[in-house]
Amino acid sequence: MKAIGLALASCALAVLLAVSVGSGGFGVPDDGWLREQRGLRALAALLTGMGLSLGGVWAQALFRNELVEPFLLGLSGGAAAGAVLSLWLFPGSSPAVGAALGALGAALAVRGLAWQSDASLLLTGVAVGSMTGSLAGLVLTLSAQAQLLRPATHWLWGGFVDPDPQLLAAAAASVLLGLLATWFARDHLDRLLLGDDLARALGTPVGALRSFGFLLISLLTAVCVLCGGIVGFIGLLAPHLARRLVSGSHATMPIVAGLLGGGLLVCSDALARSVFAPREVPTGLLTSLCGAPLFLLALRRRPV
Amino acid sequence: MSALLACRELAVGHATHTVLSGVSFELACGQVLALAGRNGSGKTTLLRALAGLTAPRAGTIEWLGKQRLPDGLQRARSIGLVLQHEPAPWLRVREVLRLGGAQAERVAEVLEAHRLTALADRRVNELSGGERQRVALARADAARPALYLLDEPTNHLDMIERREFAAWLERVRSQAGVVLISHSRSVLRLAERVLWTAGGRLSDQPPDPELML
Repeated sequence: MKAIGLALASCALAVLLAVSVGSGGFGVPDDGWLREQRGLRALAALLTGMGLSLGGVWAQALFRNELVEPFLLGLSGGAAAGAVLSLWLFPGSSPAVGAALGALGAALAVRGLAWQSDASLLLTGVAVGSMTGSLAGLVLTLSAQAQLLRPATHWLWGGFVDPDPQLLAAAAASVLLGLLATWFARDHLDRLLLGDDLARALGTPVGALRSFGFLLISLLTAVCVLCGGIVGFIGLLAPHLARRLVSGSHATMPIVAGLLGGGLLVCSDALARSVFAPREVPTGLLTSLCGAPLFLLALRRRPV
Repeated sequence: MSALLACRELAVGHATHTVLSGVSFELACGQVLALAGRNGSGKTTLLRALAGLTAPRAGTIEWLGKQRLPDGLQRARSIGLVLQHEPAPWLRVREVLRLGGAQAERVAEVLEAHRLTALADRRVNELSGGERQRVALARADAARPALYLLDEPTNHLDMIERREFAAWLERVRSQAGVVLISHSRSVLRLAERVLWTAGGRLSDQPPDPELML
């Protein structure tokens, strides 16, 4: 409980920081509209960070690998490519289904192609991510639709400019679903870490859990990509930090990971829009700049 | 008294071929049955079928008189399984022992019985091979199963730990049945009956007289 309180407090501090930081300096703005915009943006980053962290927790349990997350597995790229394709082919409709199918397709491709070793898993994830990113780029190049450029750039680079309240509601519902599902599946996720055979012998319905897990990760990734674009490494770092704070068991770790991931992304976004103000750096770019060296450090400690 | 485990004309194997066939035996509470034989002769394949992990290609298995293992945690209370190559999770030892539904009191008891109390809050993937093996045995023990299925349970154990394993086996056999696989003569001697796998069949006689215990 202490760890949850600590994570909650760090989250609240991050949101306060995000509302207070801007191109005009530090301090809560008097302008109500500005406060609201910064608050909405912080909420979008918070929910995206929470969703990606929960996606990371599930991916790490399903693959029994501490080094995987939706971005490194190519799921974020798949969701972005799905959303771009969907907008290109069906311009008037919502890209949500396309994003979810893109993430699910990437998840199934990685699962099908790389079940043998940790190294092949990560390499396949990189290949799938690269392929889906190129696919989205190709669609952008070939498409003559100007209205595709803005959302596609947003999805591919990552950022929280002008958050859509409807999307925020969908993200909140997805994160809540993710938290509840993780809570109810906590013992099964722990058993999965012993391997499929032992999990089965301990009464876990492994096949059903895996199918549900892949659907949940795909949904969370799709919503996160639509909300904040491709944001890497949050889903990797937050569970790592949470495991150090509490333990690897899925009883309290996922909620701590979610809160830490949310807080981290809120801080990253506040930095992204204020460090080079009046210019804004895409948030996804900043998380990759900071996250990649930390990932390499983790890789050094635990070679694949 | 009905058997804990009964196999009749069982055939087990992989997707394309049968490894062992005509397997029939019964195991009652208090009995230790050992499976021995050359590597690749089908011991682990048979054990996996006995654990309900793979369906037999022919014949029947009955666990406590039923042809189906229970679902959920009841399964952990029916069978305590230890596999030869278990992944080492990033969970603490104490958390692993809870996975079969054991309460805190039982976990403390098992930690003590397997000399794991000092390691209770260590992550399993940070432990040595012998310590991990003891955790695996303790995990199977924690749920107080009626039947233990142990694939090479003394792997990585040192001489003292092997002696402790023998003492533990003596304790649990009073209230459970045990099927174990081993290549060690000292472990095979702990069993009432040794069944040898060779040539796709199961036999009471070793395939080579030199292997006589």
